[in-house]
Amino acid sequence: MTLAILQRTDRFVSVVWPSGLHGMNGYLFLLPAVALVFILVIALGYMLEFSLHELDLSTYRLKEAYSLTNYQTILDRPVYLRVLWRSLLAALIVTVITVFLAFPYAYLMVRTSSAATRKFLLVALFLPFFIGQVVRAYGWLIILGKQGLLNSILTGLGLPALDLIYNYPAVILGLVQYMLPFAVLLLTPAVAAISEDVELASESLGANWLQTFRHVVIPMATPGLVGSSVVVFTLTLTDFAMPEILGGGTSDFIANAIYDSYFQISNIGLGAALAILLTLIGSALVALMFMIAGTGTLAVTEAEE
Amino acid sequence: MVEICDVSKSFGDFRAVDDASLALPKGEFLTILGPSGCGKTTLLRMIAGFSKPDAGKILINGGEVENVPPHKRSIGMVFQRLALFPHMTAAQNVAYPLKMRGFDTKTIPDRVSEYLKLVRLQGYEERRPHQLSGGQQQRVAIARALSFSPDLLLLDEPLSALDKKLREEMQLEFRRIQQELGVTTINVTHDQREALVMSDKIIVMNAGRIQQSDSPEAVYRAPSNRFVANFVGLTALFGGAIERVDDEGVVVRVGELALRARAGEALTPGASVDCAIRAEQIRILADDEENDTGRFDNTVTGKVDQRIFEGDRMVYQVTVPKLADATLFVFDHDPTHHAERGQSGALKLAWNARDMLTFPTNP
Repeated sequence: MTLAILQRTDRFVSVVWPSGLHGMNGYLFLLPAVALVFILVIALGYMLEFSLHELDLSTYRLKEAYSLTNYQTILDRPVYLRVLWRSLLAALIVTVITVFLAFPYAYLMVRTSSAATRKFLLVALFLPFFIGQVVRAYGWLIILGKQGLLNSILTGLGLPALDLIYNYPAVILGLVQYMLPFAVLLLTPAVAAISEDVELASESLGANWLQTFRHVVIPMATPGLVGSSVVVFTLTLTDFAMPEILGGGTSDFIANAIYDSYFQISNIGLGAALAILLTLIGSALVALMFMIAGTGTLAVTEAEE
Repeated sequence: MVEICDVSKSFGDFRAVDDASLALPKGEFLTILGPSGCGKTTLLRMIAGFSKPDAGKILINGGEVENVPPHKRSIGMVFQRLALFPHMTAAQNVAYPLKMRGFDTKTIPDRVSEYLKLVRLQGYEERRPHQLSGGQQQRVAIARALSFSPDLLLLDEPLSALDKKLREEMQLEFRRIQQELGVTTINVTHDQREALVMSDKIIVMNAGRIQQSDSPEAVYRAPSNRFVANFVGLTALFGGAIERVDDEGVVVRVGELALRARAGEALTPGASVDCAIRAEQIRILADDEENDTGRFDNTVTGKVDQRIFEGDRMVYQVTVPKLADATLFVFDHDPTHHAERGQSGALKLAWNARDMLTFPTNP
């Protein structure tokens, strides 16, 4: 009985996946990932299609005719350009600050000779991953809010309370804090790939630590620096929660504008156009970063041997 | 030039270097030889300035260097894994110390090509380390360590990762370059052949302590203790007791036999000793050959345990029942001619008193 089932299964498998294809078994496991990405591409295709139809205000449906009206609207209305500029600037600032802060963290974590220090840094790195972005944003509200921790200390000292939230710097702060673990995580292998001997060699050849850092450590860590910059930059550019919660409507990013188009003013076409624009700008900038830093940087990890 | 006075260094409970002293005159090539973990690399890193001794002093050119950071010391170092800069070309690697040490930028290109010529790497200036072979990478590392004319060159087992043939070639290259420039050099290795081939002077280290400090010949021919005798060369070691001491040397009782040995440190009859005899100093006698002429001071008969064919020679490992089952090693340099020897399982061995050493047994 069982044997019969097994035999039938075998026959079925040999028809669906003949032994000639067994050389490609590895690709079989790739299929789910490829399918997921492909589904996203389909959605993007639909989005592109939506973005090319103007909203008919009498029916609140998209018009049949193709037009570039939505894109025209984005370019004509200063508010969208402002949102775009704000997102890009934030992405740039957050990337620079985050990578600047993450590098020493990753460096210390790799180089420290104390196992306790390394463990502490690792735990501190992973702990924020257990706390979602929204919860962390609310955490900042508790600290920075009008009647928050910081302000109650200030008023307790007889100082005037400050407006610490619902502004651009608060959003930047929240984003830096959110991105830091990602950056450290991506920089750590790059730093670990630099053997300590190389730094000692540089020192014995006459370089002080600053020169060693500039001429040896940074160039050798370039793949990690590019990788983490790209990740932090794109995650910030497309972020929604931090500007929503910590910006309180004052510092909307593109994602917030997309959300508003879909769910506040129900203009699917406009939202889609914004999304397509965001995708294009993001992809173009990432491509640019790889081009400037050299796509070869991804191959620099080639063994010294 | 380099003076090390009573230097010690511990890591936790582990005494890596224990009260080491040495003095190296200008222009000499010193090798610190020892098994891994003997403290030789720790000593080298203290000289380079990467770590500080717990006790003792290090003087370079007569000045104490305790508070001089590595980049202010005039020391070129070749690392075990070379530590070339992978993002720089060979020429840029060699130019690096010149730039860091503020050499006149106009002279740098000339100096770089001078040193690449010294290590015979002309034409490879624009290659990056991963585009060079193992030997070529070695040459870049040497050129980089020497281009700024350091007072001292340190070699931290840079040849240990190479295959035998290349290693032997590079040993001679290092020696040639060192002699051409006359740069004072300290080399660290666990390879006794490398130490013997390259050095003016050898220091043998074990367990953090300096065991012997001598010329290569002296280290080989007159090891100062059991460790050195065992570490350098293929040596048989077995225990015995002094039977008597006379004008010609000593007689040692080992198992059922009395063997003549070279007079060593003052030994009294009855003292227990370790006997050492090197493989190449034992002769194999033909089965029918008698030692009747008295050519050899000692003759024994043993049983062949193992025959190891090494191409240019056969190594026999022989157990001698009458020497309390001591194991001897012996070379046969003409295995084809002597192929029949040892087939019978028995081997007649002979050696002279002057080739057999005795060391007091450690209590």
